[in-house]
Amino acid sequence: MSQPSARKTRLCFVIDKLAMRSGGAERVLIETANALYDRGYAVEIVTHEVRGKPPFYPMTKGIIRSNIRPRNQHRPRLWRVLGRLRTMLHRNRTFLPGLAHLQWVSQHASFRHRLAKHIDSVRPDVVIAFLPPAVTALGYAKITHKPRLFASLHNVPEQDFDNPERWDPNPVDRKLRRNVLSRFDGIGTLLPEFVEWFDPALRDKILVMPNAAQQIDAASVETTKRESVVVSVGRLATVKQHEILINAWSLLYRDFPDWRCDIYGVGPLKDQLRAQIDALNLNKVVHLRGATKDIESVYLKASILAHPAEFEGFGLVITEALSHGVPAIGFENCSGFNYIVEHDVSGIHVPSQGDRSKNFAVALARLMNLPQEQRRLATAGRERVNDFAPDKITDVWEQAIHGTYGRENHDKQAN
Amino acid sequence: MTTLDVLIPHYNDSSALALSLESIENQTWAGSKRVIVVDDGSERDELQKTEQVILQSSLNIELIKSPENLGRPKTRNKLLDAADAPFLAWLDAGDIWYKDKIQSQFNCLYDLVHKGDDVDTHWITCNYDWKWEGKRRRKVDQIARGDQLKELFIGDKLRAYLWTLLGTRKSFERAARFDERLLRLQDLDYFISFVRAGGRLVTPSNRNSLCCYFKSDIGRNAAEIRGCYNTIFNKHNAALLEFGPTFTQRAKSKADFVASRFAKNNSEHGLAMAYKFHAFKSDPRYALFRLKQSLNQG
Repeated sequence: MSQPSARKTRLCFVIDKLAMRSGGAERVLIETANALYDRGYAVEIVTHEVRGKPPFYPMTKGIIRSNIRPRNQHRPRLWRVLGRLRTMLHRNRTFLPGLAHLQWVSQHASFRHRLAKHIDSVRPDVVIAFLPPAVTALGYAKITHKPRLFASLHNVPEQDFDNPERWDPNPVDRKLRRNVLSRFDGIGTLLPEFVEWFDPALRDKILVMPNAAQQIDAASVETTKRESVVVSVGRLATVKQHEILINAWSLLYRDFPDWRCDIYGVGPLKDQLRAQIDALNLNKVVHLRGATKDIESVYLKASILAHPAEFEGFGLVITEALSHGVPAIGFENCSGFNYIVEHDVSGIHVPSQGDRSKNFAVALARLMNLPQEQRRLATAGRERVNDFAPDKITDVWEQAIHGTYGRENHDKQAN
Repeated sequence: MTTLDVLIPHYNDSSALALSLESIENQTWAGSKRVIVVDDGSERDELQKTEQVILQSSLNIELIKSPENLGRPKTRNKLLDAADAPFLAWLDAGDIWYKDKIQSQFNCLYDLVHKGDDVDTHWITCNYDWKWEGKRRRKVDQIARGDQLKELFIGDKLRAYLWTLLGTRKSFERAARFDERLLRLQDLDYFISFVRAGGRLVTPSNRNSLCCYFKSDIGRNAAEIRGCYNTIFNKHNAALLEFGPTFTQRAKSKADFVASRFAKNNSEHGLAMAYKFHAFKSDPRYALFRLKQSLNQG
């Protein structure tokens, strides 16, 4: 499938914002762009953002980054003042008919317009929009040149399209976001279970494309000295439900005096979680470690990954932990987690009914008590991660780029 | 396998090709090289003469014939596809290299390796002579210091000419392909793409002119040139946004002056004036600077 290094096929990835963003989707975008560049594609990443800073994740030299938004410092003062007034308008959360549309135009039309102009002047063969803001802008961009358009989605569809709290809460945006999908030649979603959410007319365009998982060499996993540590990695946000883990720890820490719980990540709930730890008097055993650039060492020392999230688009953290030989514990109804981890094979599914903190504590205690069980699950987990090997996932991306899947492919072959 | 592929597009000018081949034969660099000539659909007589020139040359030459005239950018892409040596250099039929060019540029590459630089992110350019028909040769310095992207857009200190270059094949892949919409100025687009993709131009320690460009504007359409500039400005608008509107206006004004020169040299004086007027509208300060410069030079 991979082409020789002639860079004949030009790919254009589009994402609203990338500067210094350390999120999962941004990481997937850059890793995918790097992998496709290495396979001989010409790759450009287009953003539309105020900040002129570089991306958080390392990008292969050779990939062109284009921020198509004019810089504020180059604009006249009056324009900047108007810009600030518009930003205030964009914060409005009372959406009146007509005015809501006006607000949407003020907030998003320039991205759509500039993107169309850029694509017409660069003429890529395939344009791939990452995350809903870019998907909406690309779908409605009036492009004269006709590249293949692909929408790459990185969350549970209900969250991306139905949750009024996610992305732009303006109902106009939500409506356009849903309707725009029919304009794409292909749609990528993370898990097979997400396909059912989409309109039946779109399903032939959908390609399930999980995230790639980093492969760690067996020697470093087998020779590492594990500590009695349960780690949890993820943004300190409501959806990750770290409070359940902290409550669970309060139920079991007396029985496991040698164990500690390290929570890595930053986010809006930091103070609230800190207060909860203080209130439960867990300061010596539960630690908020913040962000780290050396997560690999963390996984190599940890014995168990606790992942109490409500849902996951995919769950990069889970595949990362498994590839480092760390068995994972999470709720049975957490999408992403239950797709990657098989119960009692590569991790533990915690019942989601009843007292969730107590259930989590029971599952944790069982595994903390059984080092042999930890090793058995870890071995199976590493095998599972092979299904998400970067080469395999890049092959899937090449299917997305060339449209060699679903009905589109069958029609091509028939012709 | 040869070490160096020299890539030459050719169309209907066998005597010019002979001149270029002779300059390759005279190189002091003694490594193994192959010349790839893509003939872009020359007329039958010229093609026969071209074959004769190639037969008479002592160089290892591969001739690839296009059945029809595809234009320069497509021909250059064909050359890229045909090349497989680890190092590439370019030459246009009719232009020449001086005998030390390739040796000096390889020395510069060795310096980069010695310093631990990644040679796949560098192109070696060089100073060159610029020769208008009926006039003396004039030395032009390539200045690789400073912001190369800015310098390429303006084209005063660093100019985008492929035949000045030597680099690894991988470094040329960094700039992807020649834009087939650009019948003119595809070099400029290619250079800008290279620098935007993290590439860097360097010059050898030998500051003499290492090649000669025989320049003629005759028969070249000024409107086509200006149109190609527009395509490049639009395509690389994201890069121009970094520099701001003042710089963009300067670059556009410079493009108008170049188009004006082409129009004037083809006796389209009205069009030449129109471009100058447009240049004045884009960037009056720069236009007045050019006027002063022109008056000073008489």
